[in-house]
Amino acid sequence: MTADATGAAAFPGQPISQLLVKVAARCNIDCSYCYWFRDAAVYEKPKLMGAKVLRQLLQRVEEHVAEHVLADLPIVLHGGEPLLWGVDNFNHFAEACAAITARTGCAIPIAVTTNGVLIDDRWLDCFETHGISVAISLDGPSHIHDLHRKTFQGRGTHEAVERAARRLVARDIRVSVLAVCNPAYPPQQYVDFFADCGIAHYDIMIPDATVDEKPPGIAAFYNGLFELWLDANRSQPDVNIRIITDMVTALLGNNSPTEGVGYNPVELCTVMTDGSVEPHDVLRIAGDGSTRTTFNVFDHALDEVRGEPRWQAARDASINLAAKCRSCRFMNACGGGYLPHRFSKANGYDNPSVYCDDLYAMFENMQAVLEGHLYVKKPGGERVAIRDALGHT
Amino acid sequence: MSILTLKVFAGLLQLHGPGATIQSDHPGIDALLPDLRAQSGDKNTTSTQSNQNASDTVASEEFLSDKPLATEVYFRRGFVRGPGYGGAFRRGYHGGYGGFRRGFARGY
Repeated sequence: MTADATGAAAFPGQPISQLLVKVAARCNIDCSYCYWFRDAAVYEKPKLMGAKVLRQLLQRVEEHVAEHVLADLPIVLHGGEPLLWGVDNFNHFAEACAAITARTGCAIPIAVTTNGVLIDDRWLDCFETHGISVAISLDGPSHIHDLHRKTFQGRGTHEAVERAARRLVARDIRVSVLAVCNPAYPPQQYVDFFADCGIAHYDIMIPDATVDEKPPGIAAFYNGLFELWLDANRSQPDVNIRIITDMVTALLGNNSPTEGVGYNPVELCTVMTDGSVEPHDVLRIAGDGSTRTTFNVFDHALDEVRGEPRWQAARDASINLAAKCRSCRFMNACGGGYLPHRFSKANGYDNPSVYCDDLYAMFENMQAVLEGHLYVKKPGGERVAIRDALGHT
Repeated sequence: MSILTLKVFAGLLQLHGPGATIQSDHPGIDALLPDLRAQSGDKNTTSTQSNQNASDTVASEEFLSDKPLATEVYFRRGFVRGPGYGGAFRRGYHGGYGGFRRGFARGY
């Protein structure tokens, strides 16, 4: 794709195809780097989603999947800390979604993202019974995790979260781990810890920061992590480190399956505890009221949010890249970086990522490694190294 | 060196004739190549499996033109499609591991 081809016109609109539902607006722990509470507007929301909002949301979901004849509509239950909503509400929600599936034929896979502290046998039963997949936030070993993920009393949460992660694995519940990168520590410490826990699906996410901040460099960490991913999957593809597989996928010309990597529109729809509908929740990194809209599930169908100015602005920002990005050879693979990382008070989202130099170094390193592992296999069985093959094009 | 893209791959396969495939000697990388085939199929590019289980992506005019390749919303989802997606609920390399999008996967 050429730089001139970028922009909204390249991506035709489609129905909302995934919902992020904030069932709790508060959290039971106090992580130092949380984007959610950077926006004081979250305190204006009800602590938990009530029955009236839930009924209306379920009605809107059913209307939406029926009107657009969707094959599936994944829903992620989120917060704050979503388990504060309670296991009975989770059971009720899952049963209601199953009923919608029965009536409409639309699958509604449910996932939850949790800090894991509250997980006990009842929760495990709930996840297992309803096939709810679980993403648990765990920043690797305790000496890294407990730096940032603390209780309101200042104690580390690692012991409780690791215990929950191991119980999920032991029950064979579909679990992935979400860690935030701390580049002061080697990636080997994360990889070894997750291997010891029996966790094969995880992400080590780039720390959130805006262009107005000066976060430490991350390229060395992620280049090291890529090496570890190569080692872990050398005999068979066993370990999925999401940011690595996303970047490799994007470099191979595919659409990355997640929003942090690649050139694609961000079309997320977030439903708050009061039924209001907002764009991408992480855009709260831009500060107070940055995602506030006048839309809600009582007065509007889900897809109407596509016409809401702030939702449109976020979508457009995700595909209208800064000039430097449009001329970059990694534009399609990178997509300008994760949208919140492009924000500045001066230019809004019209910036390369605050991690631009790091991302470039990471893609450049991966590209070189990939070229060494790819070949064209001719019909007769002859192999031509991709580097040699490209030399002839 | 050209950057790897579907367009470059398609050009290579066209150059090397029918039945040529792109493969990797690294299982982890090779496991990500089938998505190339799947998406190629989505874009009206002929895609079939050879008896050697290798890719057989044939370049289409769409790939070889300068037209932007519009991305399906589907691929932006945090749920990764694969065997067991939304249902089987057991571990495996691929599958619908939940809450798994960048950003909202955080359990803050």
